Amino acid sequence: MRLDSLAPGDLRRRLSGPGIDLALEPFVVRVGTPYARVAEGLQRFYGSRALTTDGFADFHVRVEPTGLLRRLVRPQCRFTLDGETPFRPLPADQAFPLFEWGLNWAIANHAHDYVVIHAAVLARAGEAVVLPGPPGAGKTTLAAGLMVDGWRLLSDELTLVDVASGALHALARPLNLKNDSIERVRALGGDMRFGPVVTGTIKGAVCHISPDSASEAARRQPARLRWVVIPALSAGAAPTLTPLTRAEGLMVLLENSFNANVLGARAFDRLAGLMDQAEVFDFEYHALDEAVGYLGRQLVAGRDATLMAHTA
Amino acid sequence: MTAPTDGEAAWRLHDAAAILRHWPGEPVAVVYSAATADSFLVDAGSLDLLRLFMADPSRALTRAELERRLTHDVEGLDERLQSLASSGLIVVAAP
Repeated sequence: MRLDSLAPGDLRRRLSGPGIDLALEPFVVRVGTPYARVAEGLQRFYGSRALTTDGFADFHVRVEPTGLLRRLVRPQCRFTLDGETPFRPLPADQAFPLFEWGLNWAIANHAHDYVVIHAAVLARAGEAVVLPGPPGAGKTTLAAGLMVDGWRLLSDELTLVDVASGALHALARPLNLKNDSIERVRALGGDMRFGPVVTGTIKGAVCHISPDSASEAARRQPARLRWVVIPALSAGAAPTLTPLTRAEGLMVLLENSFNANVLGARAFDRLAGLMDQAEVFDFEYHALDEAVGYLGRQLVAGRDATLMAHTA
Repeated sequence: MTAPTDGEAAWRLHDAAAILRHWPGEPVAVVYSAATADSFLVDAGSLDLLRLFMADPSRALTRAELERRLTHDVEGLDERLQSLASSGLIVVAAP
């Protein structure tokens, strides 16, 4: 059964009770909440996802109101994982962003079958480009631009590297746009679904948007690492790729990993093995449309040149 | 740690489970230390030193022995040893 097969009233009733088990491949998330805005967000962004019925869920999360007094004055919501509250409450109008951020945190800190890297990841013809970088580097904006340009979005936030196989798995969850990037991405077109703009968050104004339909449809297909591109927004800069060493690229992946310290040598070996076949670049850019076109051309041209060299 | 015999301070690899990854043609390499569960980027000069330690991880090497076994000059040997020690990759024993 798909989530969008439930009538809104039925969905809200289930969410207010024990919750629903939602297949967000490769995970199953049991989510419960009394908030209509969370139910609407789930319908908007996860409508095509299946509801599982075997009773198993990787993560048990809820977004709930805080104490009675707070329900009357400046109401707040809190995120819980397995009944624990890992974060401070947020204003109630941020309930859906809190669900998304909380789920990111849960995956990053508990999904140890994967090396989890703070990076956007997209793929073309099965070859993935990973975009690691600190907040503000423009990962999500660049990922949205590449997606509209024909790349398949696996995630704008969490790169999942299967420790056993080295495959990169898609989450295909909503992208979290912030501030100026909301209108920059809206102007690109594409068939993404935009949620409401929520203002006054710790990140400023935020807006979640769905992956495009092609990325959602292909979400079960893994990809293999081909490029690591470290983006940096720089005012007025023409788009420029600068090659880095694989060792430097490996360090960037390790530094941006949430759980390499937990996995230890297994994470090091897996990522180092992936870097054997990867190319690494710094990427400075400013104008999004220029950046997207340039990056796509350069990466594909580089790949074709490598193929020619190997087949010559 | 093996006691130094010639009165010099000695160095040894912090743990035998260090893993080194180096790609041909690249001037830098990455080392994983199981002791600290951390990774370090090292340049070519320090890489030569680390290879000496990793070839015989249970031994302590004095500075004189390091100089004998190095096949070429390593610029800033003392500074490199200090840097590797501060990274936790090697440990220092007083004479």
